[in-house]
Amino acid sequence: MPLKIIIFEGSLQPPVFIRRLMEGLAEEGHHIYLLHFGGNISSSKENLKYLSLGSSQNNIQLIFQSLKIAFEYNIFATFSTLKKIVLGNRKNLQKRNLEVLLNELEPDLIHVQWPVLLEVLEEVINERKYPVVLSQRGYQINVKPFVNNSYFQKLSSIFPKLSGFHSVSKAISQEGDKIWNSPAKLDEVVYTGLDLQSFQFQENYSRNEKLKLITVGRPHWKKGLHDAIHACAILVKKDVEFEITIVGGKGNEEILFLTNMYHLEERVNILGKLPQKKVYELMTEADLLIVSSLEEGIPNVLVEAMALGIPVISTSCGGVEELIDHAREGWVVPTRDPAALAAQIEFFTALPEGSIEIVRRAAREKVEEQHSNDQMIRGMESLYKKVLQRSKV
Amino acid sequence: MTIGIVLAKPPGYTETFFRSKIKGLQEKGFKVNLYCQENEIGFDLCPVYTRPPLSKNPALQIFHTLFTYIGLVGSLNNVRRFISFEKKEGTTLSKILKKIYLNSHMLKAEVDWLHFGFATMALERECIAEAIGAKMAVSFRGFDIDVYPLKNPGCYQLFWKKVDKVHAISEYLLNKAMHLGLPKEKPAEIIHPAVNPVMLPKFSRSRIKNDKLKLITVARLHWIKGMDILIAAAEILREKNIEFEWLIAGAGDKKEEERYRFHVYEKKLEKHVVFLGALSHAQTIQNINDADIYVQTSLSEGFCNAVLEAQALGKICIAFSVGGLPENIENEKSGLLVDSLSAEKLAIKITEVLAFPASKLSNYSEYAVRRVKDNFSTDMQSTSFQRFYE
Repeated sequence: MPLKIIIFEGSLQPPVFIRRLMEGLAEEGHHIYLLHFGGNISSSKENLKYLSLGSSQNNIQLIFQSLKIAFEYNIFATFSTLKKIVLGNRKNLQKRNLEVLLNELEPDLIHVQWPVLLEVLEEVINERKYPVVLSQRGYQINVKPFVNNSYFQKLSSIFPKLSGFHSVSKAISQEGDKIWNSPAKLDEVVYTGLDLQSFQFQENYSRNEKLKLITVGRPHWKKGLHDAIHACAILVKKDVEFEITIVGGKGNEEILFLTNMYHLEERVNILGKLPQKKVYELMTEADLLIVSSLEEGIPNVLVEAMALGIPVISTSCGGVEELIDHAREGWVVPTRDPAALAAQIEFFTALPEGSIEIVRRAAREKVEEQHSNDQMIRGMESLYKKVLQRSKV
Repeated sequence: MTIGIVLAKPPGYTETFFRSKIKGLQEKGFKVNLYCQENEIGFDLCPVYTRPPLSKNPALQIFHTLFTYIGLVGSLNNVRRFISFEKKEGTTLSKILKKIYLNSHMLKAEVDWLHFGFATMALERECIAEAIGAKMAVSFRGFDIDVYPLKNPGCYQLFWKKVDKVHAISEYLLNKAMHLGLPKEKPAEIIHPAVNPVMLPKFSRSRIKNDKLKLITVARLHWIKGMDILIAAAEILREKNIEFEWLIAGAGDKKEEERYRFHVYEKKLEKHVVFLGALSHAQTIQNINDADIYVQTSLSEGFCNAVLEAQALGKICIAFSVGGLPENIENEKSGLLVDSLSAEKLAIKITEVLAFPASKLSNYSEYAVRRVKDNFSTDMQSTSFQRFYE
């Protein structure tokens, strides 16, 4: 039976892995509404709608959107909306818009993509009128609760009121359990899905004489790019010929400083944020993809590289070992250990091409088996079904 | 003689360098004015001139702009010169008008020297000193020279041409500036930071006698301070079964603070590594005094005041041999330098110090105290600055 699902993401342009989920669910015939705090756009599919709760940046858009929601969905609600506009509290107005929208849409469930958005939903969660499912992914689950006590307290008070959890890896599910756990907790691991047809496996791979490394990640410390640079300095000492491209690292002063300190300017190429297509292009030109992260759910870039047939070396951050068996589908090194990373890269340069070929193919198979779009949609549907069964009881 | 010092904001109580510089100059008979963006703390050691306000309301901004331009009528010659200098550099008219507004407080200044407290403060303001008939001086700090030009290559080109005299807090920074294009023939002086003995407690402890070893580091929570190396070294000390507590005095932005707290959490070092947050200068001094060893894990430093103060307290100091630190610590005499940025080597050095006999420790301590007194006093600093301007 098709469901009416609200995906609450916050931004108008959700990251690609959330878009894949929404589009996949819509294709299955579910009615998907993306709630966000951006401007208005028209939706691409009949049963996939983008609904703005009013912009967080643009007050005029916020006011117009609030009035539009009131007129369109519940004319009698206009008075209360007007009052909130006059009082001028953005968050309250957005909450009001949410309330009006929920009352009219009457969704089967609300799927929140980031814990930070739970605050906006607090009243809805307390009323328990709609089941709320939370995705456990990234920094807000595996780092912030453990370095910020008041945030930890907040999550641990909200978690028992949620109807279900989606975890992007077993590792992050365990992190979530540290925040709150109970025998009755409904928590399913559903791995991110790729449209594997659009990730063409590179049949002709050959390693360059001068090793071409690539790493992809925004300039945030949790990406561990500093460790990647320390590892590069070690490689130079070991006379390994290489160059490295850091996609998305531009603006990171620490990386610039370390590159300069180790005199690596000739070998390190730091690029800004690039369109997805360009990133895949650069990835396929590389000999080896490096993930130096300190914490992750499961790095999407790793899944994508493996699908494309790029050999990978990753730290054992988050759920990486659920994806890669060391020396089988890629190579895994400890986090915060540049020497181990450098040693693994050096080891790779000496590998016979035949061995690399075996690993590349095993990696593709693993991704096909564990990260297909289909398993993601089925997994999510099964989680939703369980949540709804329980909420009926 | 009047010295105009340009800073983003007046020095707070912890910024001893500028406070002691201002006081020192006043004692030598100089008049000092400060030129800042704001004076929210109500600084009153000397007159403070602030930038005109910036308003989001366009009507209000037009009013401020007119008012500010009218206020410049008395300094018309300065403004005229400023426009012609900027035109020569190819600045567009609209940008010149904006610069006039933002720097109107300086264009009205009657000073003999306009001294920019940081090199980055002088960017986009290279022509002001000449326009108001003053000489232009600048002080180099760590970030200006170590980091900023990496992100903005060539940013100091015009500035190197215009500056009349350069002050660096260490030879390291001066050399690095020359490497970045500062002409060798530009007059330059190295004036190290100084320690005011009045600010130090009378009874200082010099020996290691805490039951549990107490290490201290004074640093913002920032990558350049080498916090990850610090935490990795703490992990090694724990593996060696050394009982210790490592205090970190200093705050950072939220993202950086989470970075180091997470590292500590991950390694289960919460009992060993303690974040004290931002402390007053007096509290910082007190904490250094109570510790056994002072450690600086920075990847670079212009000079590092805290290391100098720790030595003045007779504390044994360990730091990496980077930036201006070899000028700050005389290796194996006033303290110890570790030659590569390695947590292992740092941990080994700490354990070596723990094995020092008491006599060796007091030799270090006495030498360090005397060396600071003889070479880094505020008196010497203010004499040097007097010479700098004359």
